[in-house]
Amino acid sequence: MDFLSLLDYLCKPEDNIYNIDFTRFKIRDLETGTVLFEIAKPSASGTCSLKPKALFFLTAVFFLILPCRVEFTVGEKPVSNFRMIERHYFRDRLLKNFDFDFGFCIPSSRNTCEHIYEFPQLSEDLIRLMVENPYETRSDSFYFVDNKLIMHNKADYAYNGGQ
Amino acid sequence: MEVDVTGESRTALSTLSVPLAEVSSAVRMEAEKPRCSSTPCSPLRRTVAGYQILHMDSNYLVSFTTGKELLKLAHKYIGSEENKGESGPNLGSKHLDSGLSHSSRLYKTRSRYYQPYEIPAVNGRRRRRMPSSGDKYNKALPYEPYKALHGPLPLCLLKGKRAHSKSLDYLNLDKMSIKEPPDTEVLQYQLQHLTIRGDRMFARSST
Repeated sequence: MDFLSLLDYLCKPEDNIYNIDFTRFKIRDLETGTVLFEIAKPSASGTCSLKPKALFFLTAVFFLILPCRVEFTVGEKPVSNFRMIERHYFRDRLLKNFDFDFGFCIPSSRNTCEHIYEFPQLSEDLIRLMVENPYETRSDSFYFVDNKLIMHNKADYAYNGGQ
Repeated sequence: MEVDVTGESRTALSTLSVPLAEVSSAVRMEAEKPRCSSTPCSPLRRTVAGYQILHMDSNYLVSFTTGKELLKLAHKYIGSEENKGESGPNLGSKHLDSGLSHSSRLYKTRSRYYQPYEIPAVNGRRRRRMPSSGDKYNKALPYEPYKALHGPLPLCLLKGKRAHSKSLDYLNLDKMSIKEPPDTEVLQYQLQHLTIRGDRMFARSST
């Protein structure tokens, strides 16, 4: 079973030579400040060597603006021009392309950065299709340092609440 | 640089960088809150793939897991089904419960009911919710570890096939040749230039 086959990813775990490790992730509602989702990695847990593909089981509540705060640690090498390109798809249709700059990170540091995801207004027909077809909404996150791909993460989304 | 379909520029960000040594102790304290004498028990936190779920609003996010966790459950399910001589894509809650009890602790939260979000004003762009047919998804759901996984797992996971046979098609990189070998350096080079090509494509379509 090759669900986590290397061919699905455009780089290998060992390409992350900067030992960038995401330790906290938080999404909140911009209007109310309500924290919608937050995960954190205990400091003693070490770096996960296996690429986790994240699966989100969501309700059919679509936010157009989602602030996302991420915390990550950096290894002993300085990180220049740290950049993330994230692409969200429904089936083969690109919904949105995000491009965020983390900038420069000093060696052996813990960094916090907040991105603002602005999603396009989706038609009701498209939303209905997304809800009725779980796991067919997907995203790829590509991480670059000095224009070299070092990490690739994936996520699938089910908008039927997992039912 | 124009990067998205609407031609909006990238969001400028500033990154707060702090040496690890100064915050490691603070992070440890925050991640593991001490037991409070006024509460009957410490908050239980579910762990998924090494991450602790600190907060999950069930009006928005019912559950979160990783492919690694599902793969473990699928292996257990397939193993038990093979012993029984049966096969099928649906997982029973009993199997999921036994799998989940090994891989994670229960995460309990109190159910809360939120008022459904209002449809924004004419020019509002903050939020949008499904039409009335989707109301059933917006009610508070008590969190049950197996419930989110009660439905059939993705076929790609259970049948051993990737949902998309070619990673290049999945990325919608229509300008890349799918016959090219998946060489990391070639793909990295093409991916790095994808944004520039995409910008030109969007610029053409907007004129």
